[in-house]
Amino acid sequence: MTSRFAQAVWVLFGVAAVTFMLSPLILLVLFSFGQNSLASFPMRGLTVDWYGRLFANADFRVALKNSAVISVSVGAVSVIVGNLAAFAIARLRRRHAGPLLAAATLPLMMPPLVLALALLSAYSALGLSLGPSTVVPGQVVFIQPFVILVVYARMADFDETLLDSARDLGASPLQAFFTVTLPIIRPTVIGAALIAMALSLDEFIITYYTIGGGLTLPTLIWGMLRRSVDPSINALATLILCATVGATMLAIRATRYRS
Amino acid sequence: MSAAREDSPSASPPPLVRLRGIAKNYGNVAAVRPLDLDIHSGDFYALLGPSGCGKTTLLRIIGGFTEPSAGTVEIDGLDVTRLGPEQRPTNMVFQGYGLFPHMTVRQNIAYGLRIGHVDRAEIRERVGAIIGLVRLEQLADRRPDALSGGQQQRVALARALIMRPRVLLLDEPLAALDLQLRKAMQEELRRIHQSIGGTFVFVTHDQGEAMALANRIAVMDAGVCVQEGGPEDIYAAPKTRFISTFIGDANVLPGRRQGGRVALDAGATFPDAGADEAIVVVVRPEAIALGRDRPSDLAGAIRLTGRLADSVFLGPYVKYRVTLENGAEVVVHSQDVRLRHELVPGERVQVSWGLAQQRVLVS
Repeated sequence: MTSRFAQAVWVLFGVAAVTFMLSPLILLVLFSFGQNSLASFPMRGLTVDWYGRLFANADFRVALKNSAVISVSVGAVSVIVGNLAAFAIARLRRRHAGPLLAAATLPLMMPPLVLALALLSAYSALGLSLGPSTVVPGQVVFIQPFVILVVYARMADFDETLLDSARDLGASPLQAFFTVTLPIIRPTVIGAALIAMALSLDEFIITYYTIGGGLTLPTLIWGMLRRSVDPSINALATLILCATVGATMLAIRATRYRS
Repeated sequence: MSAAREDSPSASPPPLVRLRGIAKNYGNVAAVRPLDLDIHSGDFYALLGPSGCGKTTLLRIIGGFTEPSAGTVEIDGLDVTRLGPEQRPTNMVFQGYGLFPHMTVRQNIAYGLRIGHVDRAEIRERVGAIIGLVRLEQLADRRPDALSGGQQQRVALARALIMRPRVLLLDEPLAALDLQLRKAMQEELRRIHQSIGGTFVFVTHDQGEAMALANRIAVMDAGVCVQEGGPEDIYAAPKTRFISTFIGDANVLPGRRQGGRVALDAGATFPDAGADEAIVVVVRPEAIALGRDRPSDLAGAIRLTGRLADSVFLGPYVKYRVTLENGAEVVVHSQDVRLRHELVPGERVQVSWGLAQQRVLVS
């Protein structure tokens, strides 16, 4: 029957397309465990030596520390600033909220390269030296719109009557926020923070231009690619992949959760 | 029931809630036109009206959630117009209940006392007492999403009552409940009101509910309070055509008054003092007698003939529709079930009532 045949073809096509898109990642992870020093088939055996070599690399440890510090800082700042923005916008009527939301998410539409160069010229005009501390503001500009959108969506759905009730029972607006609003949206806030941190960890373009001589995990990969192409790069990439995917999966679960 | 009200006006204490010149405008729209209202201690007061009449706005003004465009609100002798809800001696049960989803029933009820830094032992005692009052003992440790609508409503009620407000405000408290539950909750509310003797003010669009619960009703239409009084007074003596059809069923028959006599378009005439003008006669369906078209059958002062359109058995009474000779329709409620079997649709019938059963209102 042709329709069942056609359906099978479509399914096959879907599987092939997904495999095609995921295959570089799969191969990447695969070769990080391979014994060949050149990523090619046939594979000689499995080993975790490349991970060992990676951890022994001093640059790696520096990059790991920087990435951790930057992503936590960016996460913290974007969450605070993004939440404040989202609460304010959510309180407005739809008519006013729309344009403000668009303005707040403008950075997403800017090419990161342009943003990076703009920051670079600003920093040099101010005479600031480049390093992890100059990376954070740049990343926050780009990442905070995600936080705003996620938290705004949650707040737009938030039952105003709950806050009216809290006030009716004697709570000041601040008390109402800490005893009612925050506990209820906590999963969303945590989720937004994780998204921000995952995005920060992965971020390359802005970081590359504003970190000067410093290193983060993504820029380390870039540097290693230029020098030597051995599977310890695969190991590094696999680690970054796991961290980002893990954080994002947690975030998605958290932000979909309805208490 | 209402301990505070005396029959002689000189003995009645000052009202607990005084609204003077209260108005609310949203841009060009007048949600509430300037009005005065008194609510006495112990009242179970209803703000009744169709959607958009301003009743919820008025309730929110009393509670402090909406600031009036003009006028003053006085509660217990204190001018509270500029005070927010957390500073007024009122508490509100909201239409959606507003129960905190991340807290149990017990924690919800205790919330106001916790915020007020009441001592923990006292909180436990008062929460226990109020849970007993609203009969929620079995459910005290559940979360709101594990409760039915009626149970949630009782939690919202308990949460407000535990604060011992001078005035308890309820925004369409029974709107979300099905018929059986609504009747049961009406009983509950009445019982609780009598048991604590407080002052309740509630908003409803259901005239049956207003009459079942309230000892005083303010009927509102388009931002104006059109009549205020006890349910029997409003039912028996509605001041306007709108009120007579909004509260209870009513037949409205147009006519004209000329030289001290009214002539109905449908045919009958009777004496009535008043100006020469177009009027309507309002008569309740249960006040009309229905019978065969025979001279001796009915004895009322007003007698009209027509044909029986149909009859419907509704349980406690039969609803007859009669089409009069001029085309107007009259609805009669009768408990005489036997008559239903005797009359045939299309048959000529007579409807009749006395002058005491009707009201003549300006058209």
